[in-house]
Amino acid sequence: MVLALAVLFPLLGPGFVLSYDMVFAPQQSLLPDSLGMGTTPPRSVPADAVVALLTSVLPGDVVQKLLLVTALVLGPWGAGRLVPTQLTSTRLVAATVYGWTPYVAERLFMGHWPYLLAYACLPWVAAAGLAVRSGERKSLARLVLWVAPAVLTPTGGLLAVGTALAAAGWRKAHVVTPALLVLNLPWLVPSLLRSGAVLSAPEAVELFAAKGENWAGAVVAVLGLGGFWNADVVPASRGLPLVPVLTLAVAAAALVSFPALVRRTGGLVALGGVGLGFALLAHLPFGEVLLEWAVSTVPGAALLRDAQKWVAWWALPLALGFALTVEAVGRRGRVIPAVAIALPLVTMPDLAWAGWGRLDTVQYPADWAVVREVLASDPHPGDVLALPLGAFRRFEWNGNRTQLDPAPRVLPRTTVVDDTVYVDGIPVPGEDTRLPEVRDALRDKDLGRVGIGWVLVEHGTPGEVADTDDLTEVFRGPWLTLYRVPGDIVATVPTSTAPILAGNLAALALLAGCVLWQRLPTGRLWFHRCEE
Amino acid sequence: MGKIVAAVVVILAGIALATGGTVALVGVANPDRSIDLDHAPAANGAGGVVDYGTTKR
Repeated sequence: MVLALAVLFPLLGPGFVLSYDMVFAPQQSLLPDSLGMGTTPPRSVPADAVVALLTSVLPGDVVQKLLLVTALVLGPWGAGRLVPTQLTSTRLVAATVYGWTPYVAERLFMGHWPYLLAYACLPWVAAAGLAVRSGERKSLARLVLWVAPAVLTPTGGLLAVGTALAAAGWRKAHVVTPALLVLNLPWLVPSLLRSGAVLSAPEAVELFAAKGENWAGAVVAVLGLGGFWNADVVPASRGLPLVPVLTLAVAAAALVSFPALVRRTGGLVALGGVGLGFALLAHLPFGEVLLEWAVSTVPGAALLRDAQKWVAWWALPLALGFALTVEAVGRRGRVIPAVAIALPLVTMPDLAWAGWGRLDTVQYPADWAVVREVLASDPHPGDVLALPLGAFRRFEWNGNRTQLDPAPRVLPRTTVVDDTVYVDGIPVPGEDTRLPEVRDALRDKDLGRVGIGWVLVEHGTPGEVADTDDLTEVFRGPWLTLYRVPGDIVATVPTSTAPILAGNLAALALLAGCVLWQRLPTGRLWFHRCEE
Repeated sequence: MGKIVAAVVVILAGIALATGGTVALVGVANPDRSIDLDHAPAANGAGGVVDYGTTKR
């Protein structure tokens, strides 16, 4: 809790933290895209649906703060609990090494809150997996419930499934795998049913590969849980010349305890190695070529694009191993554990206080509420097209921070944005299958034929706006102008509704069953009975 | 063995603190002459699109 407050305290007041991919709205609507029924890849499914449900009962900024605090509290807490020790100091070492890392800092600044939530759940998933391995009562239900917060996105789901399987062991895989498969159906079904395969441009591999932070290069950066591709979100302290030396010292210290850790925590160390391998795949011989082929050919392989995210698997063995070594060498004194506890904080102080002011809370200008109200009450049909074409915005009202276009989450209708992403000015083609025809219709001034009934022009952000003379202005404010598209609007129908809803219902039923199973005073899963 | 590892960790942590503090102080105290305002990279968004990020360290 102390670690979380040290980071998030400045952000706990009213308002929204809008940074890169993190966009929350006062009230997010449950739309087809929230469940993966639209034309965009289900990257934020079912996270958007869950946030939409939560913001129907709580204000959006409260939901955001609760999720962030939960993510930053659970991780260190879980890592501290997982260390096989009786010493509080050892637990604290594991907690700070796990909870105060470049991975946490960079993903927080980048707005990857679902990854942070998944990262925070991994120690708890591992503990539940180990309980399944040893045949504890109701442990499978506990495992499913701890994996649940992680499955808000495909990446989080896979991180949790990997950890669960590694901890539970292959002997229990036949029980764990089906349960976790059902839990992941909300994003898995739309991914499988997506009309265009979920492929990525091959040039994205080099752009999004792990990068070095200083003189030591990418390998050492990844060993220290850093190496994120976007230099803009890397804490400045990561560039200090001594950081690689400390990284290697911590990794070497962790390595000393790996034999003991392997005996006690099953396959978690091996999984850490897999995470390192994925993160550094683009830097291995032929790795980049292999990845370029995979992401552009194999559906779903695009998940390997931002490869550094898989280093989350390495965090747990690193933290636990280092803590056990510190315990072994510092058992008689207090200095070494104290230094080890403070080490992550001292070497990366610029995560504290919202990254030394990097993040801040802001309020949406009133224009957004007005436009939302118009779109909710006006009977004119059709989806919304957001202009200028582009996925990211820099508004003065948000301190010119780079942020995802908030329109799809603020507005109560499906909103089409150009999901082409630019890195160093190099375009990475987007994956919304609807966009090419929308671009053509915009050029032909015939947006109604592709189901666009409204155009939202966002002001005060870079980008050119197409001619809007043919549109009917409905609202004009300092930050937004809303136009109605005249003429007939062709209705768009969500795709694959039945199987996606079935997948969500199955996952919900499993969760409800596991909650009941935990609550019920009796009952044992069949495989436990078999073992007894 | 244990004492050696402990000594190494303590020494490295001390050096890290000292180096970090020195770098921070020197960085704050002196003007950064490496900044070339004439050839500075364009601000994000100057080209008409907002970059997702940069790989340039």
